[in-house]
Amino acid sequence: MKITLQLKGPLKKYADGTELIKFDFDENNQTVSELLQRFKIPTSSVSFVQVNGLKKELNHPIKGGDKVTVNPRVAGG
Amino acid sequence: MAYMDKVLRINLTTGKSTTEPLNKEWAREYLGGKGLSIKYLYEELKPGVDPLSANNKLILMTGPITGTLVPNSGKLAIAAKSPATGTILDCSIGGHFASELKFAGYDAVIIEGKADKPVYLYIEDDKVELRSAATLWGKGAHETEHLLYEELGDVITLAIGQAGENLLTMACISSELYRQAGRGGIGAVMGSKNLKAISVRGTGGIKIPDIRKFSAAMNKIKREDTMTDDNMWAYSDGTPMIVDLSQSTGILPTRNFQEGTFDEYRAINSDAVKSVLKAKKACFACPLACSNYVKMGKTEVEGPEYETLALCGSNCGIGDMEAVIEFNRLCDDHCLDTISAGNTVAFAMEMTEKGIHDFGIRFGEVEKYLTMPTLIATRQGVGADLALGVKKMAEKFGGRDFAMEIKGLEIPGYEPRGSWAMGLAYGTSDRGACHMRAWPAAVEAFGDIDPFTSEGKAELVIGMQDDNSVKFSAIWCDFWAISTERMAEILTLLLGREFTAAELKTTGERIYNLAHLFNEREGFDRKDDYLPARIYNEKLTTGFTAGRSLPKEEYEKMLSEYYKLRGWDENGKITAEKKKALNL
Repeated sequence: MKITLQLKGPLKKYADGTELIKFDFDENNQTVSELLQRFKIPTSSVSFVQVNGLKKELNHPIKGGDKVTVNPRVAGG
Repeated sequence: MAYMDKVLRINLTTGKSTTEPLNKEWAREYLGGKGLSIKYLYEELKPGVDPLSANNKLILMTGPITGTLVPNSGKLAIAAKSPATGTILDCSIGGHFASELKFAGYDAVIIEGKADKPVYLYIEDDKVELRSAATLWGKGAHETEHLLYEELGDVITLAIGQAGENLLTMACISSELYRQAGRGGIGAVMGSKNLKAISVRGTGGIKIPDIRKFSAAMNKIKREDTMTDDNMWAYSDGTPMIVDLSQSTGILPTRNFQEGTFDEYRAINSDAVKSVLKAKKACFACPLACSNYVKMGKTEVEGPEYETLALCGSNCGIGDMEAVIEFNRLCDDHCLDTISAGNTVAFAMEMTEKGIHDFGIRFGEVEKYLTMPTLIATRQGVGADLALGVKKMAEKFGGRDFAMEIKGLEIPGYEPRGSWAMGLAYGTSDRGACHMRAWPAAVEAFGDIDPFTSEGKAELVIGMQDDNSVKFSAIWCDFWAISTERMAEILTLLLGREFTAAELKTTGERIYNLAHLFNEREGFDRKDDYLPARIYNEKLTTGFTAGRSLPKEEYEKMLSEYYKLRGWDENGKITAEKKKALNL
């Protein structure tokens, strides 16, 4: 199945500077957390994750066609 | 060490300037910046002073880290009693003024009295002069800065525009064209003193106990703790990144906080800013360079920051980046705070659409929207009414239930119905609705903490307010997610005496309580720590926050818990025990 991974801001470095990656993700019942592990993105660097634009928990299962957006932590405001 | 041990005091009424030693006892307890400027004001201002009278004072305060190699140390605190709220007011402004003032040999400048004619202050090391500003008065801050640069050469300037001259409670102070001490009408305090600008050039240095050790430590900290995942969003995107975060979590103020999502958010998000980005810019000693310099069509600005994109974009129903950039530029030139200006225009738009009062402008009307900054700053036409700000407009024309202000200060760009602790942070901020005293949206809306519960929020907000009080007193920039332990380590290296995180937490608590004590002395109590009725009574209808409000009973529950944990009574007054414990 194809999914799209979007790494925002400084998190692009975990995909060699690419913000938007489309790739085959064949594993069944994989969660957002496992996707982050695959790209070696520490959860401590992530504020929250969106799946298809909606805020989701790290244990949310991913399915074909999903777009997963990973947002960095921010300070200040 | 690290302090210059010298305060410059200017009396504009007499035209005299004097110097005095920095009060070291106070510096030990309040560090500098926010804390120390509030201490001076608390001791020197009479209760009940009119903020726009000669008896108010304007204090420019640096901190011990200012002008050194400490990362993100480029901020200056500017403080006075606020004309917008009647509370204490401390603002911080980035750029290079703070470091330059320290190189000129001063920790602080205290400005008293009122000049009989417009003047500007010129400081070049020991040379201090008040000069006529007759030819500058009436000009925007941008032209003022250019003219002073031509006249004086390589100086850094703080200036006011027409909004400050006309004593607007949303007038800010500007520096390096696009940086602002934004909130609470600090620019009107300058205007009320007939002080158009302050230019400084410094040629000295700052003594550090062991410069080799200090320099090596700062380089290591910069590499390992500043230029990291937690902070580099500031460089990669800057604050515009927050537009997408707020949209997806339903806290992007839209059409005067009627909704928490904006259909056209992609027109004003970080990608839209990056598409017209020309350069990145940084303050003194900052490796993060959060500023975006953009050009689009015939306009250009350093910005727009998130607050401007939210309050002057979605909150006014404006999904047009070029229009927001131009509005931003006009506000900067006239020295209008974009948070308050955006809110005020949005309030006028809703009042007009609801038929309560016709201000002649509706949501999304770009052409009329672009006339507003000039009309407001110069009090012309409909601008004379909008110049009142949201609270006084509501008192005069109605719309009280959707007047988005607290204590007279308009609300920043995080919808409290989708971040309940943000509501508590706004309500208990020492200068009216402010997102910089505590920014719990980062861990609630954008993090793991449930945003729709009152549980545990008082403790969360208090911790952030106290930590930020230290941060803004040292003075660090908000955008470095620095721990209190790291602050203690750096201050120990810099000042040659041992600091601990626990001591700094008490320092932060003392500073926040002193600010509260100032407000208490001015008559503020629980009745003033309200949220706008819209937040309590109206449910949002779109996105992640659909169906959500922040019920008044939940807010009051958080507030009571907050007072209790603070050691304040049910009415929000600091108890005698707490005063004693903090040496207040």
